[in-house]
Amino acid sequence: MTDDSEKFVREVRRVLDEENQNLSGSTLNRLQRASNQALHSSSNKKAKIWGWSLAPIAGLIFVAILLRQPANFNQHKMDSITDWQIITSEESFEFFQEDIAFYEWVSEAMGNDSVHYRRNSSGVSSPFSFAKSGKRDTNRGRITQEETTTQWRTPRVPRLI
Amino acid sequence: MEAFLKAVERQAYRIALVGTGQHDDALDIVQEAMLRFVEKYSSKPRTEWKPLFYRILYNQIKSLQRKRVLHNKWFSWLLPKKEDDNPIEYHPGRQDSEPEYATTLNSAYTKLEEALSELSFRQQQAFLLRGWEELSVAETATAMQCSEGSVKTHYSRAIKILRKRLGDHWP
Repeated sequence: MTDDSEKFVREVRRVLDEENQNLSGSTLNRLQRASNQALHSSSNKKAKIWGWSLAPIAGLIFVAILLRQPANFNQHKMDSITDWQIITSEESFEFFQEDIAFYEWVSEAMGNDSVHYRRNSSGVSSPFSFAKSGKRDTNRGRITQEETTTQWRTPRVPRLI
Repeated sequence: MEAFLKAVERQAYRIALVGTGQHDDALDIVQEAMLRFVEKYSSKPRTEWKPLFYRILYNQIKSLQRKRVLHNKWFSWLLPKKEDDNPIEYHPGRQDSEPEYATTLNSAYTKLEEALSELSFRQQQAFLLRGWEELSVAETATAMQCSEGSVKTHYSRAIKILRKRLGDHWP
């Protein structure tokens, strides 16, 4: 580029710079707002990206927790249903605790096969859950958790449903 | 990033004003360019910010000019024809009444601005980025999305046209 051209470009630069120094306050305010908005929008977007990226991770953790439910979850569910039936039954609670031993004795005496019981975790046998055959405790009158017992036909077991 | 936007905002506004001829359009374009630049290129190296920002700015100017041409094409038949219809009236020239423009009537800047508006889009780009913003040829090529040879060609032609238009006695 020739010297004249360089001199011309310098003059153009000077005139444009001078004009830029004379911008009105309202224009400068708007420019300031524009840059603030651009910076603010960027930080909001980053926060949103972080939030959305955590959502699938949280979902995976939730699914993992559901899949790792303990094996006795269903058993607990059954127990809670059974307990609810016992609570809402017309019979007293003691009926379920105290008379079991009696009915076992009757059962042995009668020698009848009927319903099998399995003692649940709360110590109360449920008439509605059918157990596989198991070993009977040799200590008569004492029912262990592993024990199953046969049921009698009479006396009649009250319906709990 | 804040310091960079602060440093370029005035030049960006001036370039947009020359390109659009409208004060409000120029401000909108600068705002949009800043938003897009921060969104897309804030992670780029600092040395690349200037040419990338001006690339976005000129894309916005070009987009607006295309919209205007399209608008005029479709709706010009609605406008009443005048006997002394002046084609320059439809050229995107100055139509606002910002105070700073009123005070610079018949001034060196006004003449320069008129001369710049008569350049082609590419010549205007090359001159303002190389001559005023003092970007290198490579940086200007990045901003204009063309080759360095094209930048040099557009730049030299722009200087020639402006000198001829403004004369030897300018400013």
